[in-house]
Amino acid sequence: MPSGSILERSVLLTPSGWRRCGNKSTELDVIGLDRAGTPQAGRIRLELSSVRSRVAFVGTATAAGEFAEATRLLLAAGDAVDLRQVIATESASELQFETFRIDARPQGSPQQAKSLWEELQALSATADPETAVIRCAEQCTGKANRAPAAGLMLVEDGDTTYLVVTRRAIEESLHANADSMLLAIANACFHRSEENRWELEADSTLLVMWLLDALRRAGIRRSAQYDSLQHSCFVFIDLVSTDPAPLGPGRCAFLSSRSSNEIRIEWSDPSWTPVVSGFLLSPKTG
Amino acid sequence: MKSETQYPDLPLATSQRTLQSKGCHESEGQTRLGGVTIYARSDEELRRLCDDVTTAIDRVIQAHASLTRSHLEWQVQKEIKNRIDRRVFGALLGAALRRGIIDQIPCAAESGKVFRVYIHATSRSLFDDRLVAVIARLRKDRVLPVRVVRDVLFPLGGWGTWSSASHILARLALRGSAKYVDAKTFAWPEEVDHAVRQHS
Repeated sequence: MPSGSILERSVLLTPSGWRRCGNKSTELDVIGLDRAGTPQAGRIRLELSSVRSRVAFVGTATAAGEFAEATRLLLAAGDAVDLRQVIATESASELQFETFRIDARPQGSPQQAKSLWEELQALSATADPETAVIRCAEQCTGKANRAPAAGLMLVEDGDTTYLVVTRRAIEESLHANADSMLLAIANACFHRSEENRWELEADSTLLVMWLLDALRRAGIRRSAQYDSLQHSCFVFIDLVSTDPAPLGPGRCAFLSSRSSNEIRIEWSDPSWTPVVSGFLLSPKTG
Repeated sequence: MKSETQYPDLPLATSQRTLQSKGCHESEGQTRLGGVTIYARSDEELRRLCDDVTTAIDRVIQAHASLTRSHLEWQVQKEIKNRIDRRVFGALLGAALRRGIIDQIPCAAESGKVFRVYIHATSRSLFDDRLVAVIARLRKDRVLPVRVVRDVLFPLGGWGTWSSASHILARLALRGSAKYVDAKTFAWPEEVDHAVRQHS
């Protein structure tokens, strides 16, 4: 049975959208590609391991993900690479990675809402179970107490603007207007007008993947950029004139100081490959 | 931070011409890191000097809770008693980040601009624990001078501890859990609590 190693923090593409693997052993349906490159849902089994791994980050123009050091990813030419090796040899920019994003707007599920809500809470200045308050990258003078979208509100404290988001607003948006809700959150919280781009910290990979998809569906051409080939504190989502191709070189790969539990991922069909954080996972050999 | 100017140049450069200007007439060693080519007189010397700088980066960061790049560069030059070309240092620092020896934490300056500080990878959980402890203290006291945070987190004091305490608060400022009163004092953002109360 094909299997691979990923992390609790790795992001899976399910028929109802992106979600973190989480810290439970479970079975679920995720999107993958068959031998012909056609997206298909397939059953996977996730087995939580007690093995801790450093978080290995890899980013291209179209995807950014957090993986285990032992994760193997599929390249455009069909070969597989070991991330530990890619990082050690600083070879990401010489490799063409194959990435995949979903075109159809996913119908959110309670699991997706939970995953997205936890991500927003982790970004918060402060939060309770129902409300998250996120610092905006820029002051939004004059917009205080206005709502950039239903269920969102801007408040000001001195020179700083905060976005107030409620869990209920996120849950409701996943059944109706998830893309516009996410784009409104990103515009309020992550936009830097001087560079005309969004800046998300590099461990916000779940939000990055949701946003890149939402932008594509909105017809907005954006590309992910990084501080350097060797490391990045941020994922910058930049306006570009042409949509970046799903096959592209690595732009950044490094080992983080953070660690996370490894997850063994298993699937039954050897001709099918699961999508993890937009990349195609390659099974372990041997 | 000017004492490094008395140190001799480390014979590593990002161009053969610069290496020659350092008195090295051969440049047989070269390596590429993060898009920057580093030249040295020989492969053996290149390996040895790059290892020396990387080891010094590791040692200096380990001896401090957090450092800005300029302080790190200064301390590394003091450690190896050589002046290092800025681009060479940047490429080797990038390699230490890539390999996960050290990490970079984004923080907010008083102007609102982002700046980054460096920590040792093995200090990450300690750094995160300190963030949690300082949030709790700030929530309770509402206003915290950097000096108080330094006294709590680094009771033995020492060079760089005031800066490291300010980095913790500056990290919280970027997350919105603290705001600058001035360069030496931070406050809890009161409106954030009001917003949560209003919506809960």
